[in-house]
Amino acid sequence: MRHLMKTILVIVLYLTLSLKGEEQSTEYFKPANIRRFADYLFGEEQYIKAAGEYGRYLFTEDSFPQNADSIFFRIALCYRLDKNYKNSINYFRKIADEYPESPLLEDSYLEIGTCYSLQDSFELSNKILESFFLEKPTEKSRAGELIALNHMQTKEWDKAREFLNSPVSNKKQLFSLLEKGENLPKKNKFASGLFSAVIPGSGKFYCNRPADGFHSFATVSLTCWQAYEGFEEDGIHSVKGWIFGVFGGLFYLGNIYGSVVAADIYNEEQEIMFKLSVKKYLNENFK
Amino acid sequence: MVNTTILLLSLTLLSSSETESRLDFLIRTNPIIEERPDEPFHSPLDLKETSEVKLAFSGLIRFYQIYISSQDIPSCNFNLTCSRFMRKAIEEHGAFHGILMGSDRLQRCFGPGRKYYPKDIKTGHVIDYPVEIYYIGRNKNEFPLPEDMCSHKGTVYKLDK
Repeated sequence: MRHLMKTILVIVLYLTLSLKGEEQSTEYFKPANIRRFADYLFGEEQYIKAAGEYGRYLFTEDSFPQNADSIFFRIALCYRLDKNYKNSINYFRKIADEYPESPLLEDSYLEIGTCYSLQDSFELSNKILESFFLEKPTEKSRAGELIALNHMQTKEWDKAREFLNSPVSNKKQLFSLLEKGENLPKKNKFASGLFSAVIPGSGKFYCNRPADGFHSFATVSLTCWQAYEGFEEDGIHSVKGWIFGVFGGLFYLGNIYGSVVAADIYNEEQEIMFKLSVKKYLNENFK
Repeated sequence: MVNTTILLLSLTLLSSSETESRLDFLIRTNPIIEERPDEPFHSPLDLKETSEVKLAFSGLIRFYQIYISSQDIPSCNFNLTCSRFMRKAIEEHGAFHGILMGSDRLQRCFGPGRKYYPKDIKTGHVIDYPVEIYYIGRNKNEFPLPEDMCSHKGTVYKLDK
């Protein structure tokens, strides 16, 4: 029995070691394996490492440079997803310049437009898209979608609507984005200041900052009440009255000032959040 | 005998590393002394400054910072403390605007108001927009609202981004 156990143990050990040996003999530098590894890294969202591996694959692959457009496209995509738009545009341009017959040509131009849009160069993006896709109906809807998004970011609502009325995909979602952009909630800074002048803190409530509003109301009312008490007890020569009076007055004026600024900040924040939602749409739908 | 020695040695090593990690954890979670960036020496009697009012008010704030605030633990909610904010506001926009901006900032500095700002993971303080943003006559093209701070309201934000 003991001998049998020993034999089994030896067999198991032998098998394990031999399998391990076989595993180690994998050819890591075979182009196909480098490509697989690059794809794996891309899937794991390690874009810069993936770009490096794709570059290594190109170096080892024999068919280079004939069929390299798809790999250049992948590298450019890696840079785009890593937000390195400059490098990304360079690689997409390489495809456009060196592979005019590539099936990825239209996608490359679309990606160049997307990169410029993500870099906030909306006019440049529109210029490239309009010049290239004017005569090409195949990807025209995607280009139209991107041009409409660019116009939304520059607040040219009519132009954006014009492009959305032509055949584009995700029409419903884009129109809701357009309506959201057109009807962004706005706060009037004069009204905000006036509210705070009448009731301290109400301007902050108006600007969607109720916690700040409540705190301002409490601060101003408590200091002013203390000042009132001081003057009530000792008349005009009350030290307590003057100290709290000065602080109360400063808090009151500061609150009005802050309410006006808060309205301004609120409006700008709404615009930024809209721009970020457009960018989010771009990142989700253009890759 | 050898086995016992090895066991004792390994136990000692393990326990010491555990103590160290616990200590690290305690220091990290309960910072007794918070690291604050050193303030460059800036005399209120700086000869470059010609406005007496600005000098008087920034001098008063500096006095508060050196002799009063230093006696207590840091308790301001914001990363750029209220006194530094006010001093900077006075230096950049004059006494009138600076005092009003500082007064508004003092009213914003309290617990429940922290949710309106991104939080610095390192210090636990919340990060306010720069002083320039709170100036009533701000030029929006010159000083736009920082986009990434806007989208991190109420969440963790890395200051060194």
